[in-house]
Amino acid sequence: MVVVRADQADQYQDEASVADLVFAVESGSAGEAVVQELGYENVAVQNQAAALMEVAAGTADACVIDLMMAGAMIGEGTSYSDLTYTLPLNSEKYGVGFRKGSDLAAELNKFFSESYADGSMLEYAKTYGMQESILAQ
Amino acid sequence: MFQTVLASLNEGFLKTLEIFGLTLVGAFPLGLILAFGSTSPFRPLKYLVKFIVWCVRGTPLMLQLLIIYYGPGLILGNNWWGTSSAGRFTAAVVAFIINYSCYFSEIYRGGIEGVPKGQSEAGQVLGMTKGQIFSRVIFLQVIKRIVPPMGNEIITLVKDTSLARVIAVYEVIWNGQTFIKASGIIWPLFFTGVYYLLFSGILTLLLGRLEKKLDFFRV
Repeated sequence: MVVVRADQADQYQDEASVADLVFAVESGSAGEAVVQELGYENVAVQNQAAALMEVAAGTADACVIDLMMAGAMIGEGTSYSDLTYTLPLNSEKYGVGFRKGSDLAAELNKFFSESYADGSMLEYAKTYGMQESILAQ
Repeated sequence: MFQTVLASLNEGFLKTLEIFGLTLVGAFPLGLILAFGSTSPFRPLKYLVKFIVWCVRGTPLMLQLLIIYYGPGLILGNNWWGTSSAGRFTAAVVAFIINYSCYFSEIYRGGIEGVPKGQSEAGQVLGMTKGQIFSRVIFLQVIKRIVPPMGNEIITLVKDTSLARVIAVYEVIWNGQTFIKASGIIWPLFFTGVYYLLFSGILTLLLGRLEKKLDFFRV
């Protein structure tokens, strides 16, 4: 997701409008890859928290961070209440990684199946404002 | 792959050397000015300088980098550094100069106050001005005294330059780390140690030679 200052958000609702911005992106992230692919000027920073600070301080015009990070770190009650997110630059799916041969993978898959079936997965997603983002079953 | 890694680390190390060199160019004279300030007979100036030195020496350099780079935008609402890499680099050098000049000022102060008072008095008896006494009698003795502790700080500076990466200045450690995310290989990060070892070894030799050269008189 593209994050910009809230008072400028209405100006940046599509890819054409953000083309001239300087983006802060996490080094090695999917956000960095998509910004480079689109040819936008960017600076790689250590992590997504640093990318947010760049926008808040004005040392970057915008940043690209995960939707989950954006939901958790921006808005009322955070130090970034004057930032907001506007458009997604790509779509992502998330997975959970384990060591090869670990039996936790099967356990987690079982947990996911059960929590989808009894509706608790949707409740967890609503807690973090992610209900639109969970995969449809 | 080794050539690619080496090229990237070389580029990063050039940035490290730039930060190192510019910091010394700025911190040596500023440290002397701060040393004079902290030993000034004008008490408001003396206590102001001592307060500044306490604040800078009492907080982590990493925090100072973040405050100097992000502070103007976050606190004053006015980003002084722009959005370019040149702005980041300038902010990093400013932070390093301020930090190291405070440490150097204490070393200078210790060196100046360690010269026996009789040296100044002898200069006065010979009719020298305060400026002449300092430049022709005191300063060389101060230099000889402060070379070992300065050498310590200079070698520490080589390694401290890696902190500049917190504000996205792409020095050698940053370039080594990017290979972990981009290519999944970690040895470039550990290989950066070779650069630091070699450079600090060269500095150790040079500083040792300087100490020997200054050994023609006792203080």
